[in-house]
Amino acid sequence: MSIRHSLLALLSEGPKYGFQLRQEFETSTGEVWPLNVGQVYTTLQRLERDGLAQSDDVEEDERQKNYRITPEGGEELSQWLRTPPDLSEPPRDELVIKVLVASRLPDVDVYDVIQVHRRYIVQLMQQWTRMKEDESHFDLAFALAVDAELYRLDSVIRWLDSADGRLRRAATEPAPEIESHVALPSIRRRNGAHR
Amino acid sequence: MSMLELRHVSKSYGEGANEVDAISDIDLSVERGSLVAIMGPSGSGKSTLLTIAGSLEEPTTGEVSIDGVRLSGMSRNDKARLRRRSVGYVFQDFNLLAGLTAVENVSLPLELDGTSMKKARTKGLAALEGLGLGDRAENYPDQLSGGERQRVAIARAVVGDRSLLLADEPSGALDSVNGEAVMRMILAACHGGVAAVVVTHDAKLASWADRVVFLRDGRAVDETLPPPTPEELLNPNTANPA
Amino acid sequence: MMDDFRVASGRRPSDGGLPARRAVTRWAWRLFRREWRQQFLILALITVAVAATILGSSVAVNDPPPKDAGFGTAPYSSSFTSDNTKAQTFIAKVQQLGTAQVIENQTFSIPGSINTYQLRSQPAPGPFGGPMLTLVSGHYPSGANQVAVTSGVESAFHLSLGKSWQVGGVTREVVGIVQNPQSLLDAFALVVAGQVTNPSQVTVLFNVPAGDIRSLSKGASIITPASVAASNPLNPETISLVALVLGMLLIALVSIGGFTVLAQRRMRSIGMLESIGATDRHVRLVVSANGTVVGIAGAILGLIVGLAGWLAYRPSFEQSAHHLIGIFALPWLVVILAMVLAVLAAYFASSRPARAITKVPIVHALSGRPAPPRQIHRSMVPGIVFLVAAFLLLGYAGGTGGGDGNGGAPELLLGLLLLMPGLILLAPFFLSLTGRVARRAPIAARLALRDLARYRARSGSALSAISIGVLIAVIVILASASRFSNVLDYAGPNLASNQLALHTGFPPQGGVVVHRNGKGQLVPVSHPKTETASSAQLAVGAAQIAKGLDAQLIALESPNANLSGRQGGRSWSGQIYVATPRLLRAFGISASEIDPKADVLTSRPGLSGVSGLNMDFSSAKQGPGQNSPGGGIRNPLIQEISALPSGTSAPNTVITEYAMKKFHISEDTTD
Repeated sequence: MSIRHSLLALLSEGPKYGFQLRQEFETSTGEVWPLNVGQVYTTLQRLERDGLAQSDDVEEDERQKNYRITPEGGEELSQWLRTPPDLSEPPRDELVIKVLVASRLPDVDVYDVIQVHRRYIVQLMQQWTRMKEDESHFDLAFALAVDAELYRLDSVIRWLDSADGRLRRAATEPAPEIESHVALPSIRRRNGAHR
Repeated sequence: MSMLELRHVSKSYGEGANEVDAISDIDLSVERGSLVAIMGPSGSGKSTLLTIAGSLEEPTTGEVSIDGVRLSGMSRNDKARLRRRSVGYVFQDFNLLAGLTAVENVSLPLELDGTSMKKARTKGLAALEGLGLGDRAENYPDQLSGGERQRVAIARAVVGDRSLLLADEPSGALDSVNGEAVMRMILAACHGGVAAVVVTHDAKLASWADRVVFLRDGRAVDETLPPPTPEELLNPNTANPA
Repeated sequence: MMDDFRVASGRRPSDGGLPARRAVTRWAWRLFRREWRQQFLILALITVAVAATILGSSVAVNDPPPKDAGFGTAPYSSSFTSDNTKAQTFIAKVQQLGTAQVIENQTFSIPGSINTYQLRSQPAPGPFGGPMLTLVSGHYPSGANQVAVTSGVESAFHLSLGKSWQVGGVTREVVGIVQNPQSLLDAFALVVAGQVTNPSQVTVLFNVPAGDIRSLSKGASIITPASVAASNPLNPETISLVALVLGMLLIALVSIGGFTVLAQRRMRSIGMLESIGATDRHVRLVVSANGTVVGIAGAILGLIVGLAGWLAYRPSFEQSAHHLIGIFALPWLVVILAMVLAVLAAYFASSRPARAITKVPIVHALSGRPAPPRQIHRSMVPGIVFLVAAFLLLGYAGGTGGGDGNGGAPELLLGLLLLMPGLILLAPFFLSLTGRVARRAPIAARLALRDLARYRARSGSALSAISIGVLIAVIVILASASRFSNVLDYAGPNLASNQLALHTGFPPQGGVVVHRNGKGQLVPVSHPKTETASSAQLAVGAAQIAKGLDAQLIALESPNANLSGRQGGRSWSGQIYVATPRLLRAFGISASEIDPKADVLTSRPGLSGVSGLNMDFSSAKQGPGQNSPGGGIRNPLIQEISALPSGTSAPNTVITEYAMKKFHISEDTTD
């Protein structure tokens, strides 16, 4: 997960110290994703090595170093903002595999498996929603981040519902002829897509 | 004592060979101040459950009690009185009467119950203002946006210190921002002591509830567990396995 | 909350009382205001019905002459036509007991016309005669040599203000134009008292204490406005009210369907209302309040339209009714009743759908889907039984009607009465037939017919209303046909446009018969008052008129005979004449067409089949001028000849010369 672009974004506001950058990163993402200290400084060094950021070499201590963005860094940042990530290859989803497996095993109730996961996800969503609405935690960045998570979980629920329906319909219809397995058609990767 | 109690409630339509079970053997208990969401695919009986809980329909078997009073012994007029005083209903759309202004819509249950027009209007205005619609009180429903109409509907459902709120897909016709606003208001009413039951198919909205009941084919098949209390969090042994 | 619920139910009225009703009515009023277009049809129907009733009853009530016509403001009136001395004694008696106003009339005929005018002496205006006499222009006559005339007399004699005019041998100056507001056709010349020397009628309007009436009535017949009105049983107000009730019944029936549709359209809102706790009574109130509002609006609109129509029509109506009518002379009782009935009709029409809607389960109403039509399976048998019985009775009634005409009436009535339940019971099957017929219809008609057949709740009432309306029309047609097809009490057409009937019976006293002299001028044949023209002179006069018109003259001779008999409750009417060869030739009837044994020839269709007619006559055996009882025959042989004219005043029935000779019937020479 690229935190380098987030750091570049923070730098584009103005020159900052190392420890500043670490603090601000956490606050700006609503403290949803706490960071390893070392990770920040390693990334900063890499940015410098790639010519996207610049520091005055006065200090040895990373925390005290003053960093600033370069023009190349600014271009890299705007390029990153506008380019959608490569989502063409679906990630390996453990839940999908579970459901597929459960539907094949004869002594396993796949609907039960689905309902267990559904309940768990809804419980999670209940907690996230409660947190989001709890006033002391309210800030815009936090809300956006939690919304993202809620939508993600919601999409899983929707898929579970859809799978539920498909499996039930298939159970009542006669089984079609099983052809040899055809590989999932792949979507052509876009050029210049970022990982 | 719970505000709403359903015991072994079943409802079937049709006769003989054409008999269809809408809901079977449902138990449900809703306390004051708690928000319960009912989730399930279409045809699972969620709406039927709500209409039976709201006295709009009678169960084939089983017992419904609102605030300790059993509905089975009630006459039509008694049930109507119950709907005027204790139960508030919110539908997915088309909640308001077209010929009346927002405040007239909200005060209508009070007026039907015998409250004078002036007093009812005061209460209605207060309810609307509590939901941020004080300046739209004299508008007709066709002059209000969808979100505003639902808010007026909620105001009508809680006006007069009613204690049970039943909502059937209240955010169904709204966008996500307005939908959230509606759930926020229902939750606020619960904090004020109202017991609320919301039927929805949207997990994001159901996640506002304290408890989610899952319905399938007319039966309650599952229920979310209550969130861990701080004590349970501190003691990992008693925490719920995820 | 729980305690609130239990305790509060004792404090507040169980169904919300007045505020609830007010809230519900408020919504009904808003519904009416917003959706008045949907109710436009019902509104229009009620408006038209109320307006038509107001206008129609005003016309019907004001058409006959005013009740006090001829009485002025006097409570009593008495007329004397022959004995002037009797009149004078009566007047003297009355003047001893109370007030009297004397009106003397002498009849004159207008030359060249069958109309007459009166020479009238009447105090202007007098103690009672105010309503009967008004001045149009000029002034009332104040001296013996002055006269005021009506506009009819003015134009008949080509008079004008200031001209001199001779009547009854006296020359007077025309000083004014007058009229009788209660009878605009009244043609008279007004003179001062004492100028009418030979009155043909003396009328006394008077007022005396009630106790003295009996002593006065010994020598004269006294009438009052009430006695005149009583002789006329057909009260126009009663007729208007009957028509109003019938009209409102029909409108209520049609409106039921309209209100049903309206209620069904509001189904979702009503379900909503019930879900927030409205009781059945509240829901019924919504629908019936809506209905009442429509009724009130229709009544008010109808009043406005009716009044406007009356104000517009009244001036021309005065001319056709021949008397002046006040602007506000409306039958206000009928008007108010019409409005009240309109509201009641709308209320009752909407209360049926109101009750039906409360029976729909709340959940169903909320979904807004129209309820599937309930299929009612009834047998056709009861309806057919009624229909067959009705037809049998009607057939029997028609068959026995031949005899004396009184038979068959109860069967007829019963038959008609049985028709109605028969139709009502069979109506659903006719409705479902329309659904089947619709298969071949174009799409728009198909939709309408299928809807009609499926949703009988909406269409049933309208169908019955239309059926009853048609039934009424048919009954009216039947009644008038049976009346006018009666050959005895004959109502035929008028004379043809190329025919003119000239009656030269002796002229009224003081009349004039004219003929053209050698110089081509019209001169009187006889002097008025002293001579009556002889029949030979009259024939000459007639011949000259015919010549002047370049017309063929057919002299009609009346025999000393007439027909009599009854059929269908009516008796013979009409004049019969002799079938002279000239008459037969004039109508193109050749001798070969006539049955030599026929006693009577007629153009009245169906007369030959009527049994039980008598022909009564006087024989000439005893010599001319003496009429003996003669005799009569039953069932004279009647032949129908269509060439004879069919007009009521024309010689549609003639007695043959064969019959005249056979029974020695003489001619009527008194004419």
